Amino acid sequence: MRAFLDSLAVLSFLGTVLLLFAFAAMLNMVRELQGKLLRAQAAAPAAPVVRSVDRFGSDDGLPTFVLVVSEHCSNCRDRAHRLAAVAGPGLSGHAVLLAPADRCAEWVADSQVLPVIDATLVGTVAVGATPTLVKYSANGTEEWRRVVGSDDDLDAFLAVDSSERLSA
Amino acid sequence: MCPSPLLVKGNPMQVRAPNGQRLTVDGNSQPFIGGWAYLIWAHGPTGGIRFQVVPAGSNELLPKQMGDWSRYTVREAQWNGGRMVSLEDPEIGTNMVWVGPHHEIATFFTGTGVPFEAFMDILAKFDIQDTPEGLTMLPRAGAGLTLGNLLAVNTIDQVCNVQVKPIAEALEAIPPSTGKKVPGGSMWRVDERDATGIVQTRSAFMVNDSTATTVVAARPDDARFINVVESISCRLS
Repeated sequence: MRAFLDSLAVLSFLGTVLLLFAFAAMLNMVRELQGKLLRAQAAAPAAPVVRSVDRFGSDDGLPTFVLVVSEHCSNCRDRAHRLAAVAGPGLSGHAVLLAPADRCAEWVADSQVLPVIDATLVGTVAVGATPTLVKYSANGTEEWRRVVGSDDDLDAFLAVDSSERLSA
Repeated sequence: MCPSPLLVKGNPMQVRAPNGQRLTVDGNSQPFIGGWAYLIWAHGPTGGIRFQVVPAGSNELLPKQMGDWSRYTVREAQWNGGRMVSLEDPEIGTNMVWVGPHHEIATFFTGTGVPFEAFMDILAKFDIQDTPEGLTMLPRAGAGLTLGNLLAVNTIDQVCNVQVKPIAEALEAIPPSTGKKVPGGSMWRVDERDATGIVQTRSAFMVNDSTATTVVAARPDDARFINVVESISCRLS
């Protein structure tokens, strides 16, 4: 194991050396381009096609936050637990867990989160990665979607709207 | 980390590089300590992106073992049958890793709060196949990307580090003098000395019709290093 790590360390070192010397100019260029790419993506949200799901509309004017999860995904379970913990009066919107399998509903049992078990709808919403949070406005139109990588990210996505978050 | 069946001592080792080429290492009597690690660039009309392809788990294992895991903000999601992990160092930037069943792909983004979507958009431009013999990431038709600057790295414990490049990308590094004939091609010894003339780093540079290989000695006067240099042969096909 130690030796294997040494090998990895050598690679890291090599990477550093390459960065410092051979590719310094190119790296700067890449960084600039990646920065531009990120800014461009911030300006134009990743999912340009606005989708609409009638059942995620609401009568009270509040948006609906839909956490799309897959079954064999421990992160999905952890984020679902987090959503269950924060859903309720403190959240300015409805909370839904959209999952393909019944067992996922257990992740939000005894909470204000409405489990929707519908594999077809999961396919229709068509998120690239799970867990993804999708925000629907009151008329059931998708506002934005974001891959959720941590509880902190979930909190952040639930708390502010897309434009505020991206300009922060 | 289970030992790879490809590491059997003495047998030719065949692995698949990220660009789809087959890397064959022959004549090496001392085993490598793990899988190969690759650096590769994808060049497009707007610039290049650098990728690391390494055995699955490496990008998380290294900081955990080195003790600096706690400096990272870690995010994780599922994508395309593998884990997608974001390792965000607040001072340096964000390493994004897709962990497949056997290998993983990592690339670096400047800044923090990098969305997974940025990494997914990049990976979606490649047809990624991960098998025990290697991970290939070939640009999809229409992506406008070409792979280049392949570097394959491995280590023989306590003896040397082996770095293999395609010959076409190392032509300018070939010395004008005639090298010594070895199984791996033509070989030149390179000594880097300090001010007092003592060898600090000893390496061998060898070229054949498909590769340029640098073998860096762990200790300059180790006979095992000489044995490797005079027997190993690395080819890309």
